[in-house]
Amino acid sequence: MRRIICILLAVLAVLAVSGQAVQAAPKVSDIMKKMDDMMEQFGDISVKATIVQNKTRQGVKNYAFLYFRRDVTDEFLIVALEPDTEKGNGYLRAGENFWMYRQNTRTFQHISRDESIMGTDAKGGDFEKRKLVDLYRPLMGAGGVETIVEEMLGKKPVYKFTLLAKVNDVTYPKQVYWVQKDNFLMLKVQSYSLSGTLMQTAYYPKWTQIDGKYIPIQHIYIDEFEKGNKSIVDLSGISTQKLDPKIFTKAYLENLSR
Amino acid sequence: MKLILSLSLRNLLRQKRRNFFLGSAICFGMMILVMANAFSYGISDTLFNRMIVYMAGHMNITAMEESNKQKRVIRDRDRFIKLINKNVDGIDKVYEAIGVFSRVIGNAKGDNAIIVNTIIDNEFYEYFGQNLVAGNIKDFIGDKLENPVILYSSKAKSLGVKCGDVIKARMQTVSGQQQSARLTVAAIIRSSNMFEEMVMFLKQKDIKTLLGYRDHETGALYITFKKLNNPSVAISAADKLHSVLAPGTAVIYGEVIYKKKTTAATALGYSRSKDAAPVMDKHLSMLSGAIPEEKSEKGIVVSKSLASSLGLKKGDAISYRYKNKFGGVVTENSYTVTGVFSSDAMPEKNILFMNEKTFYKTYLDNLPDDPRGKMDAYIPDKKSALYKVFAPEWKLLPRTPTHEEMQKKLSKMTKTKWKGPWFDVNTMYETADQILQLESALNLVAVIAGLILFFIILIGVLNTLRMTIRERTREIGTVRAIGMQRSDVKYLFITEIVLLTAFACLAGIIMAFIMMWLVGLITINTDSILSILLVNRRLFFYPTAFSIIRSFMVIIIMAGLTAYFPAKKASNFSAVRALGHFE
Repeated sequence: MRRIICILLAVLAVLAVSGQAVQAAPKVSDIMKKMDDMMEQFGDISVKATIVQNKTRQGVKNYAFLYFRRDVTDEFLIVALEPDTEKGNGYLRAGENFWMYRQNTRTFQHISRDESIMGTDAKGGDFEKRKLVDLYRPLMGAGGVETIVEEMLGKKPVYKFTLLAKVNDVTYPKQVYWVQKDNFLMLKVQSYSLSGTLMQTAYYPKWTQIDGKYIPIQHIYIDEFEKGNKSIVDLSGISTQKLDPKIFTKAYLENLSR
Repeated sequence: MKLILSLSLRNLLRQKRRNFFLGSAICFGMMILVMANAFSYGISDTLFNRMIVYMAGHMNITAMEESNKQKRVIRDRDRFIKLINKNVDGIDKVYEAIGVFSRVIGNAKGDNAIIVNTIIDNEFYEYFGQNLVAGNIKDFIGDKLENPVILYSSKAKSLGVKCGDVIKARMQTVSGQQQSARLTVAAIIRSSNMFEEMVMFLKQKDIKTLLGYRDHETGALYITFKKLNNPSVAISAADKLHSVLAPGTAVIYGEVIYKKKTTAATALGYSRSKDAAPVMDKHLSMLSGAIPEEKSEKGIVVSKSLASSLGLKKGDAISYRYKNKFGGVVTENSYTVTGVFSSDAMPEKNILFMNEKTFYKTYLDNLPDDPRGKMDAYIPDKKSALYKVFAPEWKLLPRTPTHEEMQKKLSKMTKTKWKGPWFDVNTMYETADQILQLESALNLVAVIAGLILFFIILIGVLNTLRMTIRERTREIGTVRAIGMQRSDVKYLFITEIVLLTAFACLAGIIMAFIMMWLVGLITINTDSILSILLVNRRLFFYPTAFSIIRSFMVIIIMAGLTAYFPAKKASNFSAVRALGHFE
């Protein structure tokens, strides 16, 4: 009898510990808010980005561009530095207007936010500032509880959770996040298509902190649909100093491209 | 006249060798002219009837939501089909057109493709049956295969797939989300030109499911006519359709729920554009609170009547639900009251007023049931002072006569902040007016080249005629001496040349048809841009009776005019002088 009681007590103890572990994990919605808060830049930012794009049968292509953003007026400017064929070309977004500038013809053309930036996989819409909590909601498990698990990603302890789109105009309707336990920085994101196929895995191995906000300075995108395609984005020269309003004008883009 | 005709024919036979060579030259010229015209008509026929008509129909209605996102969707398909059938005569069929640019991966490699819907009708059986290379059309129609697809042999080759194989496809849904699918190759068909090779066919229900279209929605509506002889038929039909597509005000009729109290109310959208804002400010006064910010997605203002019936004030959270037009479902949204208004241009009814962004977000995704006939509903009429403020069902783009103007119009549209749907009516002649220009240019080149050729030939005609007149001067004297009139002499020579030209032209036309048939037998295997000139890998000629008769008449008139002056000179010889002519 004593033995049974001991077993029961042991089982209860284990359950209590595991229950504590479940309780210890924060809510997904809180993590999302925290992530938004940690990464939300409000003000001005300028950065140089390089993209190494490796596509099957097409080889490696290198891209570089300057990116300027001003949140208060909802504007951004992208100017291509590499490759030579794209040098001087640019993209200017001011409110609802989005222009593409072609240096050889010196013309501005209105484009859609779905259009590719410099022939890369990046789209105009990807540069828009949108909060995670506005776009996604956590996947609910049985009993309407947010699903979150703790696991190791390499040597780092992480929270793993799934988000589902709550608006239609997001690229991926389902994403799985691996977020570092100690600081809530996302390390890995898997994106799924509407039919549930894994389309892309993104890694964010390097982060930097500027003015108390976190910026991933290296992104690695692996195309899971077309195996062998991979893009590495590196950010450098990040500055949050106030930008001259003239930067976000057509004239500036034209002058910069001369 | 009969005498002149018989004399002319006899004279033609008198100088067989000379007339044979001259006739051969005219025959050759006519042959070239007919072939050149048939070739240029062939190119435009290929581009129009084998390409553009599939890309744009003879006429089409398209709708685009959220200008800068290129979201192509017609929400209430049947309403527009009814409208088309009621207002356009001579329709062969109205069909849904859905297409998406996709990345497809086969066994060998990845490639780009345009996946389009196909409708199972007689035309389907005829086209796919005639061009079937491998597989079975029944597999495509049946439900055994997962997303059965038909593709062209060149695409199947480049992807390294055969019937039964699976192709992975990546595409974007109508709302811009990433979608992927497994497509099973049900059949492979042969293509007749390079434009077709990019296309892969899915059943309409499959593509609609993949792209997120609901049953009542579609991408665009294409209209083909039973008989389309010239562009003006489609253009005038499009103008008429455009005129009946004038939109009304978008209205939602539902009920507001607040603290367990419910009351019927009409929801309307408002515009704060440069034109609309002053009108709104003039006719609408805020009793409390303020109009929600432009970017607000939840803020609304309510009418005095609605506020007093539910006791609403600024900051209150309400729910608004309404019955949808499709699916028998009810949509319920939550809003926050930012103010209470009164208006001298609206009746004392329960009204919710929201910005276009908030309004269209629910209106488009969940089309409301028709509010007409509902007692309490407020349906603004065109006389209302606020009419231009109210959000319309859609906005109609102006008709444009050329492709260039159409591009300008669409570019202007993408610059707007308008969140609602834009509707556009086009014909294939505007969509592809550059092809019409190309056809005209090719025809002009053919005609100029032909005329240069004939100018050279007619110099020969002139020379031959002068020689003939010189040789037959004494004969002219003789016939004049026995009573033939000057005019008869003139018409004799003109008739000779015209008859020679006519016979040579007829021979040229026959030769042209023989040559077109022979050239059409040669198979040209090229994947270059030249393949746009080919149909079933062969040069395609499209001779038209009009162009042949036109060329024939031009040449006859030219020959007659060329012969006129030497013939007149010959007719002016006096009989005595002509009889005394000696060489």
